[in-house]
Amino acid sequence: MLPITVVGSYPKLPEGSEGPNVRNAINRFESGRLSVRELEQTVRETVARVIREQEEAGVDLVTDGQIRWDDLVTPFARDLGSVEIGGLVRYFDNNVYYRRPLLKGRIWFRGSSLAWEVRQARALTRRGLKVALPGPFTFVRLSLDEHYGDLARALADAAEALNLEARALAEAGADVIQFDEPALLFDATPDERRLAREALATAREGLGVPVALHTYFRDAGPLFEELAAFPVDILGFDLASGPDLARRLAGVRLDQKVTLGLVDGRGWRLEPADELARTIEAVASRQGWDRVLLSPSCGLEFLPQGRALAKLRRLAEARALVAGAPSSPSQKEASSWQPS
Amino acid sequence: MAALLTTSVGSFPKPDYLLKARSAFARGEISREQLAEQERRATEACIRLQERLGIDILVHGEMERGDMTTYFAEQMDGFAISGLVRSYGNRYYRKPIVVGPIGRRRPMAVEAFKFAQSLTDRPVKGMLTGPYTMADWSFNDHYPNRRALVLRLAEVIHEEAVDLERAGARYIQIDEPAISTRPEEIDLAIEALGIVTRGLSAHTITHICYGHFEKIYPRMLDLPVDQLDLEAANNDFAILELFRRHRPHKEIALGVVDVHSHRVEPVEAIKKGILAALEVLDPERLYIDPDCGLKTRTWEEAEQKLANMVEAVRQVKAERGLA
Repeated sequence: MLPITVVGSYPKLPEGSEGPNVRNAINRFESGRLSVRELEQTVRETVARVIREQEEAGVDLVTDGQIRWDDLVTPFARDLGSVEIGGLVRYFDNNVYYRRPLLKGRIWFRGSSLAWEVRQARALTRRGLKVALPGPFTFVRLSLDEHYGDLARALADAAEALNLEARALAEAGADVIQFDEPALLFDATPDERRLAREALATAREGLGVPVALHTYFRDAGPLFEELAAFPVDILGFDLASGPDLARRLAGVRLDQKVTLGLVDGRGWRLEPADELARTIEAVASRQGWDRVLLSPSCGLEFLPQGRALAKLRRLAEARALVAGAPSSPSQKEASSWQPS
Repeated sequence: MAALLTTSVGSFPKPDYLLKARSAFARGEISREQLAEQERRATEACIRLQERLGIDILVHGEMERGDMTTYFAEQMDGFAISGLVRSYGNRYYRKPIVVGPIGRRRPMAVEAFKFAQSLTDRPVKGMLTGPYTMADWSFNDHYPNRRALVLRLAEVIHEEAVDLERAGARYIQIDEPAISTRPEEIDLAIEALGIVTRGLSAHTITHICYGHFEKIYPRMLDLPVDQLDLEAANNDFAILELFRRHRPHKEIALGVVDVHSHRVEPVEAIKKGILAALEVLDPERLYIDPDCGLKTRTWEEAEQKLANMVEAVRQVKAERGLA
């Protein structure tokens, strides 16, 4: 009941001096004081640490924390042909930057380097493993189109390439594939959103594992009905950016399972567990107790590691409160991310 | 009137001796004064470099600053400092947390300005981080909303701007790189910057970067400063198209070299950018600088980029007969 998951990223650095430190390792590597293999060793230890940290905090469906990623889009872009990596651009409304993919010709799929990452993470956990990819619309929106000059055609190719990537990741052991589509909330027109939905249908074809869609950073309320029509198994919402979403979700039952992005992945304040518990109870009573997952509002890399961990623990505390409440079904089985 | 004056956005790379001194200070091995000595040494190197290259309006290089938000937050009441948060690649910063009412204890940027200005006859800019950016790049755990936080910060930063002017700053730059983040808040950013620049007679500048300028243009021309300092090289000079559609009535300082690329742009390429800018902007109201602060480059890369920039300006001026 009520499995806990993360959206994707997790802080790369430990806050104390203990534990593997990729920042120091990269600096030492760049100044010639660390070998290629030593750098890789530190990265692997970091992936192991963030998976263990999630497990200990009570997360049932973990990610590898995107430790090897600088941003959401360039790792996928590196698996593509005719795509180069351009200059730094601000990542939505955050004080965080990404390198913009440049679409120089028709996108083609070169093969999955990400599957190699997924196999490593798979070997590190017996919990459910989720991998987040940019959704086709967000990928194209964050890229600079120097070839297509037409959103529909760019999306169609990006969606097929994403589908090939996602298949490789499912084969490599991912239990859930999530497509992140924050760009849907940033001034996308109705026509663009329709194309985005069609592209997502392509991206998810034949995956054989549950597919999630997550939007974040802005209020998804205005698009609530539209998102409910997206062809996915799990719909994730950023409740920290959408003050009215919890009420909507307590009012109408969706066809998809729902991930409640309850704790603000970009805010310092720790949400009181009893407040969270009330929201969970209200939504789960409507959606069904086996149809709700709990998560932060977005990736956790916008917070220092200690605060990110504290946010995950809040989710676990809130779940424990709900489990003890008289209205909830007793927690007979271990939490499962499995679709029922 | 002078044409195509050259300047810099703010930060310079920290020389190795300063990086070592900062680490030693962090480990408690040297005193605050010993660190300050190395900061002054690096500031002087920065001033001499700009003089030698022939830059017109200098910056002090921000040798005493780590992050542009955290540096001020650490000196104000009402802030705590968090653990490290990544901004891109392998770059991290300590994000300030607003935990109580914000106030200024003492001048924060005046000493560094006065020292740098004492080294040279050329004007040195007084450098501040703007209220909108300070607010946007901090966690707010105290004020009821963003507006209250931004406007409080504006009052505090205004006090600092007044002190900089009293200390002799002829140019005061208030960096607002976050301003393009939320187009729906441009009015708040304008109001806040108006508080900061209220009653100043110094030449005022604001620097904005990494944004979708098209979403806040031409509204951003209403920012109450004399000069907008904007990146262009990083975007292949796409911003010129906005200027073409709506000519700016303010001075524009245009970034003509990309600060996030190791590649040193050839003089010819920089010239091309400047010539394109001259098609839509008057040379007397166009300043030339790098896209952003140079602190992420090596000292050699920064020097070469600036040298090529100055040479490109020299050639353009000669070819166009500009003074």
